[in-house]
Amino acid sequence: MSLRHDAFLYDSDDSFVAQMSSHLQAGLGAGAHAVAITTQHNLGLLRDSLAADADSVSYVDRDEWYRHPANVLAGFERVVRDADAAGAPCVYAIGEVRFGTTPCEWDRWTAYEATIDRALAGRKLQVICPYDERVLPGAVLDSAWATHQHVITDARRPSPDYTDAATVIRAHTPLPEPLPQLRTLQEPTCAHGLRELLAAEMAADGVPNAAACDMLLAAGEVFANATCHGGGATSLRVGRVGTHFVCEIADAGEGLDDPLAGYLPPRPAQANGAGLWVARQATSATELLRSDAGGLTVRLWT
Amino acid sequence: MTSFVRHGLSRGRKVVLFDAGDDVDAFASRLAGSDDDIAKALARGQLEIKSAREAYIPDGAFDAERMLATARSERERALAAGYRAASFTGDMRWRLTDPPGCEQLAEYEQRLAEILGDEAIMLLCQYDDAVRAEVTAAHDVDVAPELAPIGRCGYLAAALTGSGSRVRLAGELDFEAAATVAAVIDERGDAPICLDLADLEYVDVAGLRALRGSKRHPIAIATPSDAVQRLVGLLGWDTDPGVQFQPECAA
Repeated sequence: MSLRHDAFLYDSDDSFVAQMSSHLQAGLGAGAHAVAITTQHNLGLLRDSLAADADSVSYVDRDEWYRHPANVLAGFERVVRDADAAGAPCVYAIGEVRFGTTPCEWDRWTAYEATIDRALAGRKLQVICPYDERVLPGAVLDSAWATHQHVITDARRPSPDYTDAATVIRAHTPLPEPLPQLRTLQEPTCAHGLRELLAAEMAADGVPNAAACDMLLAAGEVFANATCHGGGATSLRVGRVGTHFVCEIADAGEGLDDPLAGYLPPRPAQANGAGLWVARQATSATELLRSDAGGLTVRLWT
Repeated sequence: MTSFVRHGLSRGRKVVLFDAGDDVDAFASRLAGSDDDIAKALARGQLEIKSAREAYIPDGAFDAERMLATARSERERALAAGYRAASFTGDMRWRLTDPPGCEQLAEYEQRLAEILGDEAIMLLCQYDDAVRAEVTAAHDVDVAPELAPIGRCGYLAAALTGSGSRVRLAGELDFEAAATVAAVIDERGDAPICLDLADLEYVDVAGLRALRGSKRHPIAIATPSDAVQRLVGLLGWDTDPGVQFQPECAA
């Protein structure tokens, strides 16, 4: 059984409980792991309604879970792997995305929803994403039809508006700002030189240790890609933007026009291609830009 | 060791190899006979083989200042001859005799890395089974302490210890060194490998993958550093059946 990723539009507690409890119970009946990730209020409703089955379900506060899109993908990947390791046939999950309150956040999480079908393709995961019609804005509710192949309202049916992931992500990813305030550093000749240079810049800037280590990891992967696939790094820029330290590495390659790059979890046997995945996991944001010379510029944010 | 040499050569570096044997010329011809590229590098002077004993302990004692001066002049010669950088690999078997001045070795290795400067230098210290056994028996010396200072300088150091089944890495392992490390792992064949990574302060995806050789060799990891744990988690190796975690490598 491979991935099933549905949206569920609901407008009352009763409707939520009826649909979601039966989904979790179906999972438990099949010997699957059952995970509910939703609001505290909805977690309480589920616990009450599941009664005797309540203790067999894992409950996660969605405010804890939906912090950073790339990390959420890794989280689902891990839940599936753990279930597999425990001998469970699959995972039945509820994932009520925290869309936030600003158009910028709506875009970010809509783009995230669009990645799921590709990023978790083939995983033994039956996940339903509830959308609360009482509180979500129309734009977000509409997007559910673009990012899910099937939508549940009064019944489950294929979505006529399901859209290719890359198209949705492009439409919901703001164009990166130019950031003229970044300082250009001399390009390092080797990976070790890059790390020394960046470590010194981040220490001078007061970046906390854990964030600095993650930035070194992310920048190292981007530098490795630039060196091995991008004809070499051609420019290195760093600086502070608001509360973030930003590092930007440009290469002389052919560019990379794939909005899903770095969102597909690396499979164990995969020989290469995990660098951008690691970069996205280790930074708060990883932006891909087209550089002036046509190559790829990767911008990393602590 | 051959893979270390080949890596340096392929990156346009001058490679100086200090051999501990008594007959350097014989060692050089054996090495040349085993590999065409190495033979050519020897012929054009990109690879030089010297006597470790004459370099490290010409008068029977180790002197850090003297050896650092040697390293400096070797590096200058390499740069003057148009090489990008110099790599050194020294067979440390001369240590077994416990010559005077041995206590300067850790400091020497640290300063050596500083002298060699911006270009990352890789020091590969290979201790073969016999040496390890002899070291342990004669002096009860662990090879680990010499590696740590190199690691703190921000470079990669590696040692094969135990019965050759334990690989200890210190410092930084990135894509530039990955092919070398993968070759070292491949040379172990199907033998079980335990990796001691407590002092591996930085590792990237290519580096971590190299620890499984080119054929996804099953490995055990003991005492992973924070950097190793972080990347292991991001790549999901903690649930990979080919990677075991254990508290320590068997001696």
